[in-house]
Amino acid sequence: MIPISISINGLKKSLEVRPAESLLDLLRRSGYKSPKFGCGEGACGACTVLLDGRPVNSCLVLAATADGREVVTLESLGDQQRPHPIQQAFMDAGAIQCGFCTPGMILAAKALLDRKANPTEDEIRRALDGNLCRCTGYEQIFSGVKMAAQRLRASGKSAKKK
Amino acid sequence: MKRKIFSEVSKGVRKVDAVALATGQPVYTDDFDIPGMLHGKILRSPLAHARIKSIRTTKARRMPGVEAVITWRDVPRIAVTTAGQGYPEPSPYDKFIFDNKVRFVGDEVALVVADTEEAAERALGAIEVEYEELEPLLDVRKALKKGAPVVHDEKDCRVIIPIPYEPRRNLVARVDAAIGNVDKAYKASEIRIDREYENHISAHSAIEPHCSLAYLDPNGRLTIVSSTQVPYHVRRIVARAMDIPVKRVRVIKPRLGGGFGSKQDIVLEPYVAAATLKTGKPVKIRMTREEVFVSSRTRHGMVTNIKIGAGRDGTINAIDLHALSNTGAYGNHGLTVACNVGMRTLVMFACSNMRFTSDVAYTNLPNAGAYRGYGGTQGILPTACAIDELAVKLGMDPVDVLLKNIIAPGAEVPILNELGEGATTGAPRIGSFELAACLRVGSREFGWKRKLARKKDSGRYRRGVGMSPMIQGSSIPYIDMASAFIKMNDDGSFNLNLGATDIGQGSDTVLAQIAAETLTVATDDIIVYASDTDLTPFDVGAYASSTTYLSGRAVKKTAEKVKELILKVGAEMLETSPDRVRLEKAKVIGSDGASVTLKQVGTYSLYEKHQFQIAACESSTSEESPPPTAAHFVEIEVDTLTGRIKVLSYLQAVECGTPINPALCHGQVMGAVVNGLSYALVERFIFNSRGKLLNPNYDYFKIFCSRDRLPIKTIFVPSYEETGPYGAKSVGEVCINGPMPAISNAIYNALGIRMFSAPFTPEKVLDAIAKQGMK
Amino acid sequence: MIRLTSLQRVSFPRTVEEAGAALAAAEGRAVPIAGGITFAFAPYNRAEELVSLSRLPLDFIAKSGKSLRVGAMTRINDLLESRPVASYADGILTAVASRIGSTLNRNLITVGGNISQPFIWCDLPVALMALKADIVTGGAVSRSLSADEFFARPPRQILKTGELVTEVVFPSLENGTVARYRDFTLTENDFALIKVAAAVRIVKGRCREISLVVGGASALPQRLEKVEAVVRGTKITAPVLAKASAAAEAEVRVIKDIRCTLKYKKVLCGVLVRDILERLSRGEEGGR
Repeated sequence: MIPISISINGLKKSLEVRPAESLLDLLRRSGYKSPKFGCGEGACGACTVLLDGRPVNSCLVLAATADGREVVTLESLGDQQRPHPIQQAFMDAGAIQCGFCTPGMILAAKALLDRKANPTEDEIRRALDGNLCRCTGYEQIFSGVKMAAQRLRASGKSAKKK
Repeated sequence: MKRKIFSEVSKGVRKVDAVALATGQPVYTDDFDIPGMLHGKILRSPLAHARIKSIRTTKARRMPGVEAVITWRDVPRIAVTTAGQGYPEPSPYDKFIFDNKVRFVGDEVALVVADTEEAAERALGAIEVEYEELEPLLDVRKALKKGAPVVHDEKDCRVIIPIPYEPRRNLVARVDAAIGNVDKAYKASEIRIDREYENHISAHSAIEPHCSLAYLDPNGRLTIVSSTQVPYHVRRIVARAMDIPVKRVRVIKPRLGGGFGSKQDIVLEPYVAAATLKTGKPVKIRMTREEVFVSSRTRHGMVTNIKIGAGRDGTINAIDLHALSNTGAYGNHGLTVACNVGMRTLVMFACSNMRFTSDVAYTNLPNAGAYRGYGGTQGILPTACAIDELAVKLGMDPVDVLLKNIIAPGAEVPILNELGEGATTGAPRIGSFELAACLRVGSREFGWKRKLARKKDSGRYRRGVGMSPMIQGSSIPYIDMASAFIKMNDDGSFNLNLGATDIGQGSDTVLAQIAAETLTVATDDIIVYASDTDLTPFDVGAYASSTTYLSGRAVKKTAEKVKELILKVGAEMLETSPDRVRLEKAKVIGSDGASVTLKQVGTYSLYEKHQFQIAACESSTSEESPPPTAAHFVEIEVDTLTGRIKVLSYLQAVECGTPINPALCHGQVMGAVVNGLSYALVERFIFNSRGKLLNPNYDYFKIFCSRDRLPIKTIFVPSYEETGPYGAKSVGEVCINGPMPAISNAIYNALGIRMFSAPFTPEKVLDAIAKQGMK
Repeated sequence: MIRLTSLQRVSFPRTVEEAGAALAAAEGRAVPIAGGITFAFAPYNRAEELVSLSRLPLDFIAKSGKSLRVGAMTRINDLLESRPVASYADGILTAVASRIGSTLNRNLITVGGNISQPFIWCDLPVALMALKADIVTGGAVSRSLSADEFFARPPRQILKTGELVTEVVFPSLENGTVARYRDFTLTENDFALIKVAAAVRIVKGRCREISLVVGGASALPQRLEKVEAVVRGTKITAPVLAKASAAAEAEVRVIKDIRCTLKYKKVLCGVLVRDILERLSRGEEGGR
């Protein structure tokens, strides 16, 4: 086992990881179930987390190499009592059917809205291009992201603040 | 057209599980971990067809972390079908949980149970199997011919209802349904179309891989938590396979990450059951993505032959449709998918000479099963394309040919009598059927006539337009059953316990809306719990587009019973008689205006006087399967140097009765049509010459991503189905059927080349251009 | 899936020398790891140690006069969003970056990784050869190689143990040079069936210099020298395009790809070359 120091959702943790374990497996066995196993090869995006602020496929990251880094999962964004505006927009726009791609989509959207408050449709499509969805045909997901962007702008908040 | 004002139905009410899913709650099967849980890994066959001469598991058993290794010798030999269908299943009992023969690359050979996934996987490599390789049957066209390898030569495979089944010649099923005299009418027709088409095998690709978890509850009952569309069928079939009574099994469906039919089979559940019964411990198995591609289920590939005979005025006199269906290594869903090929095509037409026949055959290829569209997808390709070809020959608009020949709402449909899913449907009359309206509205909104009349392009990039009609059904008449249980709480809220399975399509929400509408409360006042065989009443599950229509009927019936009880209690509280009160806006109101709220009724009934639990449980079957219908129109542009097809615009005009939840309805038809486009344009299984799938991954098996531009417009055409809850029909499947025929027709319009098989990949299109030349 | 069954430890050297020394000392039992994507495609790696390059000072993009230096640990997404990169050679590198993987992948894939572990579908090598970039190495060995030298054989055979790519230097291009990149995919998020990068220098309507490279056809990118010869010195008119297209179809070497026939790949090569040259001759804006 390899000891690492890692920050997960703002909490500093000292964890022992198996040498060949992926960050996805580490997160899930540490109780963070929102990133999902969908393909294990970096193609579907169900495992998306933010690594030092960047959305990545956590199934492709070796947990041992995440030493000293910051990981953010969907659990940090909001909860059932106070969902984050992006979560609320996804609910309101009908962007969620089975919900399996949703954690990845929301984090990819957050990473976009953190940098661009008024993204074009092209920019939205590109930001989500690593997240596959088989239920919605994507259209209502784009609506959800646009709605979130609009609401965040209107409230004068950036996506960064809770 | 009826105009109804609803308060909960027809509203885009937020999904009841939305907040759980939006906040990433651990609600899918793989999110559950139980202390002491073990992991299972399945050893799969590297050969398409072989006998297992010996399996040595001693080394594997001794490896660190391994608690059990299970092979065909360790389980009783019991034939089952894995098809999630009502009993008695119209699919052959040809599957043994572990067998001493393997029938496709990826077939189950053995199961390792260990304390970690890694340990289980390492032990897989230590199992020594000696195979006697047999000649594989990889071409369905050869399956029924003399001398073909026999996929199921075992003595104990059989069907349990009297349907044709000849495994010795690889025949899984036969369908023969006819009205009138097709051969005579065809020969006598002035215009005759005779073509062969092909539908390819493809994958559902739900983003959640199959996952099942089994454990013994404190009383030793086997409990299975599974990513399944059919918990009740799982319970029955696992009990059978494990040779234990049904009462000793409980099945729970949590949230599912999509199914689309791939989870309408009993895929992993017998394996976790066997592992838990053997070790006494909780065991979880989760498929890898590769296993999902190879060893879950696929769409049935088919070769279809269509003959249409018509008069010069466009009247169709004869339709003769034949399908040779490739059901892969096992026969689950073989007969029923084939029946639907005829049901979702011929039923559209007011033609008195029609015949549908089908042969369903085994091959040593992956196991085909249920897949959204379920034969309708395969059948509409030859049908819509033959209509298009007929229209071209007649110099007519195919929309006009269709309008001339489709049935009207309320029409009698005698061929339905011949085409039941393994049983006779006794009610050959269609209720609501607004396909004509879909055709007219769609044609107009798309600018179809103008685009059809456009002069052909002649340069490198050539545009074309094509269209297709389609229908599906709403549940299986006489066979499907749904039920619901509702009880009232002190605060005027209700528990709605449903057998119906929400697999992501939002049925929990839609059914809550129906209950809320009947009980005059907000959807928020309905607490849904579903798909637990101990706690929710029976429902066949999420397939055949049955949930909104049939489970909806059961919910409405149950809510009406509860409403009766509420009125009885309310009347007692208001000291009047039940026939003098009504339920409105969550109040029981007397004829003199006095009222009590539902909260008061709830409290009174539970605590105050003549206490009893206001509750009801009702079921529904149906004598009909009202078809949702649609018309799709597409404009494409073909790059004649590379063969690439670009979709310039796509319009779908859909009618499904009352959309109980318009947002979810929209989501269903969008998801379905994008899946259909993906199937038509880019999805492909690539096999090698020994039956091994070469692209079991997303790198080489493509589906569309967010950057793929598919400009799709959706129009809901109003309709109302009298037999449906608040006028609703189901809508989950129908729109997956449109893209393939519409695009094939558009290719013809653009290039003068008919393409008879998809996917219409660039190379395939370029090849057709090279071989046939453009016109 | 990652299956590093022998892995025992990961180290995080701070300098290139340290990294090179660690790799050299391990004599093949250690491998470098940049973004780590390689392990998803070459899963059964027997390495006992991974030497992470993530803390090396190689994450930079720097303009040096008219040339461009890109550090080996630069993420592809940073390449994609960089202004200096966008203003170099008509933004061809931006165009290439936009075709690599998905947003999620691009936050892991590094420039160094994309060129020193070149799978058949890798995009950057094609552009490096077309632009005649230089690849600088450090660690156990320090040298500068031209792209043509670097991709003449599989780079793992060219790099010595403990020798790491540290940066790529894109040269300043002569006046009148325009560059373009095109690929052909089934969906937007797909490994290209084939890709072409070209840089041409057009003076008074005539092509003075051309550098044309195809990728995705065989294990390594190929310079289409015969096609270059067809085009060099001509005005790129329709007959020249037709000749170049036919020459490309004939010259390109293709190896088996389960997704299409060899013939189709050759046809695609011809069409892509035709299209890319046609665009370049029109002198349009934008790298793609």
